[in-house]
Amino acid sequence: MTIAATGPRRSGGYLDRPAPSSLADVIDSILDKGLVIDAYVRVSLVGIELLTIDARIVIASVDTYLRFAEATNRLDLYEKSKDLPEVIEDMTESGAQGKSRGLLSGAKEALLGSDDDRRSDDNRRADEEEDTGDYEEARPRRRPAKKAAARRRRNEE
Amino acid sequence: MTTPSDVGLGCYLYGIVTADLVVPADLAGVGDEPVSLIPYGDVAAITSPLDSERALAGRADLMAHGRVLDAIAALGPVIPVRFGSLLQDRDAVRSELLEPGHDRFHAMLADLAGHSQFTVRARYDEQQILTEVVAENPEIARLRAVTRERSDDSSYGDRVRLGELVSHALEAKSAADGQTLLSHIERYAAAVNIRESAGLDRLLDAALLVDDSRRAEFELAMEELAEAFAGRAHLKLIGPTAPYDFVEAEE
Repeated sequence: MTIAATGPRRSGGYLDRPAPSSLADVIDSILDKGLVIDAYVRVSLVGIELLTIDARIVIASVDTYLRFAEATNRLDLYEKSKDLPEVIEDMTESGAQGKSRGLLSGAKEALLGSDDDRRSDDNRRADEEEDTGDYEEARPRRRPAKKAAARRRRNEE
Repeated sequence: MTTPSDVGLGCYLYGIVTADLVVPADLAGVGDEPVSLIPYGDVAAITSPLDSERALAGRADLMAHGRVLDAIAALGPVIPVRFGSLLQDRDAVRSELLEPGHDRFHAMLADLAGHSQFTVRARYDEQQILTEVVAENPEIARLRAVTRERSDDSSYGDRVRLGELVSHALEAKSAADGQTLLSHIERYAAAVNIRESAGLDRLLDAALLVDDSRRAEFELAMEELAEAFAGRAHLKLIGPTAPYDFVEAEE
């Protein structure tokens, strides 16, 4: 990719500048960061740190490969002229992969609280939902019926 | 609300600043408690009272921790302390934290002065990047065609192989594109921390410690990169924030 060929400079709104930061951004930014200090009472974090670390080391698993294969298979190569809102929605459907999805959403559920607590965040950009544990939300999916059935079957296992 | 007479009242710790920093009067911390400084020599701890029996780790507590630190970071250099750190009382903050660490904290704050952290999160458009991967790899295209037409059980081995090849192809792409991104922005940073991350659409997660005098240039470069990657990847820029990624202990 040639970055020099970006044309005239303008503020085209391509860069996402969330302000204030969403909960998902805060979790990623600060949960396991900052100066660690000795000789103090450490408040329990209910294992959240361990979960987020675990989530990063299960990338090369068979489960992950199967999900990558599934994502590749449901790709419609002849449908390239989608407009951006659709693209973002599709990204939302399958943002995280494999066990990292379950672990991360588990860790984040603990922080995010119940569904009711979460409603105030529902007006965030669609592409941030992948970070907030709303993975299993039902959405219309444009996918052949056979594949959809296969997907459901795996989810029930 | 807790009161000073409560048994088990501790000092929740957000970070360490220079002693001359003035905390905004209306800054509310964890549990909506008022935030105040505990000074010692040239440095000071940012704290608020917290019942040590109270469980943390709720969303509001984490947001409050970050909100306080980012508000303070806009006023002067700050060493963020990890979320969930609680000291017994104000005396302990001075004798166990600030006194033994004074010189080290003072030096760290001098290094951080005039800098802010920005965090870059780049994510591929999944459809676009998978389309590229299939188009560029004949074996992936072949396995995709094979596994699409067969039941899950009979194509298990091929599907694992397909996913593995896709995974490796995506790793190669994100390594190359991540390097392209970094090559255009790392010149503005005094330090860079590449974060581990996962996910099919992962391109780059990086924290940059940016000198305030170069912030405008950096932000413009990010805008241009976001436009250059538009349609292929989505770039998010978080900041300025406290320098969470740049205060690792050097024991």
